[in-house]
Amino acid sequence: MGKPHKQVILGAYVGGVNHHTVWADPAAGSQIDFSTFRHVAQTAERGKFDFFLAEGLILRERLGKIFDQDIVGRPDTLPVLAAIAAVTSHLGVVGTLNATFNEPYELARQLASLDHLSGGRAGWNVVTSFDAFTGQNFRRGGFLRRDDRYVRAGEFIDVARQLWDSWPDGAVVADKASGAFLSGPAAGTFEHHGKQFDISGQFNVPRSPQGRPVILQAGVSPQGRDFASANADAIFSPYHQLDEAQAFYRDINTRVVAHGRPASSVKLLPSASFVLGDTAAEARERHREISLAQVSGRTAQILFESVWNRDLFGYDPDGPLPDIDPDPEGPRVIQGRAVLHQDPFETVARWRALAAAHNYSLRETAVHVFSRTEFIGTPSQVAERIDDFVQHDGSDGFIIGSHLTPGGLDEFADKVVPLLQERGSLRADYDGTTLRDNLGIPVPERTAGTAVA
Amino acid sequence: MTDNSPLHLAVALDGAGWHPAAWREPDAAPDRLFTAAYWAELAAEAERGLLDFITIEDSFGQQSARYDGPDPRANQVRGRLDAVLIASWIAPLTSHIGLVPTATVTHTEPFHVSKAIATLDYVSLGRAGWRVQGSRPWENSLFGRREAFAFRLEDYAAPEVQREVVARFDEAADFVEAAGHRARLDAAAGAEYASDAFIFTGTAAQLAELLLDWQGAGLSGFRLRPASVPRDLLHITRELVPSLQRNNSFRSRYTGTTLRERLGLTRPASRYAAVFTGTN
Repeated sequence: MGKPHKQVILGAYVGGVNHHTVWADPAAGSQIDFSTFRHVAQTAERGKFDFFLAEGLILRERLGKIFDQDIVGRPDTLPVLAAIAAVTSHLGVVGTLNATFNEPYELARQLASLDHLSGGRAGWNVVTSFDAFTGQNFRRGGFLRRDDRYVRAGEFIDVARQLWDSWPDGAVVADKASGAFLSGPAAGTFEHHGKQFDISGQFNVPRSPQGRPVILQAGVSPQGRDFASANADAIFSPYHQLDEAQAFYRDINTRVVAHGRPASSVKLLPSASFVLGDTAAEARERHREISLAQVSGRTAQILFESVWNRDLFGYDPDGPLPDIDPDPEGPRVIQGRAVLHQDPFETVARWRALAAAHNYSLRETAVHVFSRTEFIGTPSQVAERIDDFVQHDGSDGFIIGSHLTPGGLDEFADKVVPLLQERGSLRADYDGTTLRDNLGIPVPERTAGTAVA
Repeated sequence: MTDNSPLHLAVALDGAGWHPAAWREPDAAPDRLFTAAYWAELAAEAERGLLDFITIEDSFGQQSARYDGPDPRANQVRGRLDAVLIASWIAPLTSHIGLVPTATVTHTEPFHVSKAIATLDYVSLGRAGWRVQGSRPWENSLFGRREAFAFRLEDYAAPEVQREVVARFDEAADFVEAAGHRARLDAAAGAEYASDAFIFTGTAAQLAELLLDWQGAGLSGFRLRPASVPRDLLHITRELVPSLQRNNSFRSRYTGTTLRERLGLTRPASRYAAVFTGTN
């Protein structure tokens, strides 16, 4: 008997605060109105996607001023997810929420509330920060050492689980005749004494439909992989090449088993964008136009500034790459963007070689190194590549975003989704009601001894 | 206050109602308090009654009949969902009613609260409000804070702001409870109901008369705390409101789209307006 045919997991996101979203496109709508989020979520549900992902924490800055080259501003994650849940019925609602600048009691309560309101569709993408720049928005400032962010996040998740488990099933009896509302007065009683958190009391949300909301994580470093393998139900994978994606997939599964969890119980999901055409050539041409719209001359300068850490506005986008060296020790030119390149000198050397080999200008080089459209082709080519990647264990699915907000996902739902369904790789209709049902993840066992009646 | 000032009416939603025994009423749905549909139905009924807004109670800790700590009770409603998220869930399912959740300010980050309420304003297309509350001292342990600090207005605001805050709260201080079935509720609770608000017991027509008297004395409107839900909510929307409408004392349809318009409040200037226009 061959390997079982896998179902492709699909998440949807509204293009984030980076150059990927072509906000100046005449067909682009509001980047913050609820109508936009409603449209993308309902399109995703029409396409039988598993979940919708929302995010956003701080406005970026360039040389101390708000950075308005890309989208500025995002609605708050949890309220927008609650509103989306009201206008959808099966789609999971997953929030990117920070374990550094939230408190476990408050966030666990919000996520449990969202799980109740959505009938069991809540998920939490756990992210961490350590930088003082993000910390400026909060009372504690940049209080956490970089090395401690997973320590805090790990204890944060442990506490959240303890809180979610703190009401026994059936605690709410609501028996009008006898006058017993609860089966006992101690529902929700908890105590946690740790290095990061020392809290106790009574959690005031009954156990939610999924038992615990689904947890998603990103982790690439060995520490991050280990953390995600121990804690997450799904992991964002950064790999799009099949061989390195398969190696990551195997590595995560080894770690998952080492943590005493069943193999394949953690789903791996890269994010991906797409450009479709009626022919392969048309798709490539559309992609070229979109890439140029994504990376204007000014955007190219700014993208490079995040690596050079110098003001590069004096360099002609149509001229060569800057001939000066990066200045990694100087004050940050671009604030609020994850630092992706560990060694800027090595990175710049690689880009110079690329530019020299193809005679690329500054802007053309930026298009080639920062444009990350994974799926370019006809709908049938894209469906086949997505399916092959999943069936060959490069991942368990993809989180799909479009360069065009809010209408871009429609094309995917209308043209690619039916082909995935024909291949038997995507549900024709939802067969459960919760996000765990969508992902095929069971309701977790309660931590022993947590719930008191 | 002139005679033609509009009367404002809001309803305060909290679990099965404000009376401790409300959940045992024949029409109460105590097993649905933690479902979205329950809250959507109440909001739809309030909107059907053309009310100005609903408030939604909240607290971090378990409900308690005591102020100084939790009470070990299992015979009253215990447990509640986050009010800002309930309001956000209701928002796209309603179109006119104002949504005013409680968000406490003792332990929350101003960044998180302000962003959440602003987003409620987005998802409701301009119908958001915020009922500001402090936490009870014994809720400190939920956040690992040991020192109990009392809320004192003078610690938080300059004197002129204090006067303004006090004035506005005085205006809103008289609440009313519609509780035609109070005797039964009190019997179920085993004690006579006590409240920090005026407890009204009588017919909807009598309540209408009382509210208009008080409006004449200078009050802008009332936030009614129904003793039990849905019964007393229905008394408000289907008896009190029609009774006021017959006197031309209450709106017969919604006008305007935002909560500010309904309350006659102007849109505030951004404190950063000068900064925005000063840069390019």
